[in-house]
Amino acid sequence: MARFTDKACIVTGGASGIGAKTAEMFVEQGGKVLIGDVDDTLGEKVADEINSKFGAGRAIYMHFDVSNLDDCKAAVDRAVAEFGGVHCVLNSAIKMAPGLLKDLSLEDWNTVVTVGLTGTFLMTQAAGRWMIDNEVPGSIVAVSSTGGLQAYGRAGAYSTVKAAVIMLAQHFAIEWGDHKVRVNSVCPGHTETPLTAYLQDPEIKKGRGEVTPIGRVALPVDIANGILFLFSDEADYITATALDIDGGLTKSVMNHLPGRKWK
Amino acid sequence: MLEGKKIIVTGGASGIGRATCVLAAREGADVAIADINIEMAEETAEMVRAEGKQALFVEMDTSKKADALRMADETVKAFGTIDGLVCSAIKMVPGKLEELPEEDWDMVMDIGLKGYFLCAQAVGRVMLENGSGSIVFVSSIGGVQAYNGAGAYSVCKAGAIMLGQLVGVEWGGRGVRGNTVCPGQIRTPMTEAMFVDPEIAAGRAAVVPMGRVGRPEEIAEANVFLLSDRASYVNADFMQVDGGQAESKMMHTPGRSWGGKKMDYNAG
Repeated sequence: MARFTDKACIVTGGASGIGAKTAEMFVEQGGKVLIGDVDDTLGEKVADEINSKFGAGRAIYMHFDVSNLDDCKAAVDRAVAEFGGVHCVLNSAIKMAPGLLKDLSLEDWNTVVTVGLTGTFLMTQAAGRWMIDNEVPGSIVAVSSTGGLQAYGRAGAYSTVKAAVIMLAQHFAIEWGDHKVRVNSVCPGHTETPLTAYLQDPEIKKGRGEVTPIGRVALPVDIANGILFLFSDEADYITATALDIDGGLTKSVMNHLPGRKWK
Repeated sequence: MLEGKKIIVTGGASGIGRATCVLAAREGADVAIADINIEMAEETAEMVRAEGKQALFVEMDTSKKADALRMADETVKAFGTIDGLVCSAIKMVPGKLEELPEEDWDMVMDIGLKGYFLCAQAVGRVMLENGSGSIVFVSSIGGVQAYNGAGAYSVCKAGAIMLGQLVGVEWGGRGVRGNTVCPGQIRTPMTEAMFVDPEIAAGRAAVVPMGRVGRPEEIAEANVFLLSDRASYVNADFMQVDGGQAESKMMHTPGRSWGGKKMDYNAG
């Protein structure tokens, strides 16, 4: 039996990057996925590719906006109708609205908070309610960031939202431990995804790789591997934790002293 | 802030320890200077007396239990009691992990971690009897983030943070608070050999969000606050006094920034 046989997963922000890779690997390892996004063209494409690789009916794309309560409920209903339940949720939907805090508009602040934080709350609540009501054990993962552990200058509300996501996952986890619903977060470092298109610039990519102790930026598969571990029964005793998947970046500040080293 | 209090500072002969002795005296405390360096400790003692307070020098090796016990005894004999302890004694023995000799590891751990324990235990017994006291450990941001090339230093300093928490948790209910201060890069006699090189000094300053390295007096301020009754509800905590360095990793990405511009955080 494969790792996720008879398991269904909802992936928000599943049309690209970490979400798309996790969706694909979840299916590859035996499960079924409901891919949610607001980019229908990309979302449909990801679902089609998964189905053509691993067999029809394994992935469904559905347009939904995580910041909308009814959309999140509809996503759970759809997964239950198509797959018979929801066992895993990946909250990876985010919108970037970079800027210096001094100049950041309320609109840009709200955009990131609404999608990244409120969306994680609504989707997790909707899926968790179904798990609790139906006494189905589940595992929910929220994508935070190394930027949720250390301030990410110029990224607008991003760091603050990602820090809050870690706490939100912990909070769900301690409330739902009794129901066997585990909730964790992952903190990726620099990862090559469509969201981080700037990594296509070789100079930027080189710099981000050099700053990471392991010497390279991450690929979505690196992050998906950690997420799937948290989804799996291997992580049965892991809840309320934040897993750094960053090649050591978060702990590397002392590596970055310019100039000659002291001998 | 420390009017009438009796404070011991290990490693009080120089650097952060000395600055803490002087500030504690200025704030009203009598100060016992515990150190292995007689000459410099005597200088610190003079500085304490110049603030109009009593100074006591205890010659000791913090890694020796008998010395730690004698330090507590001599201070009680001279001052009547002990209200506060700051542990700052440390020895730097840099090295790469793959080459680090066992004796270098032991040297740092004996002074920097076992020494903190022995001094805290010796003084803590007096404080627990009194039902009051404050113990402050000087750790480092190297105790929060690995300090490459610094031998056992980071591990020792991480241990100091946990020991501070343990003191706070075990003794907090009996009136004895335990806390840790994590300085960033501070220019002291211990680090002077490094900072005297202009390129190194410039690099170390550039990496700090505030754009400069710190002064021992700035760490002394944090130590004295934690010793004082103004910190009466601060317990089992660690405070970073580092100009923001420990949280600044995202500033240090080489190459062009996103948007094609290198970010100037200090612009405007």
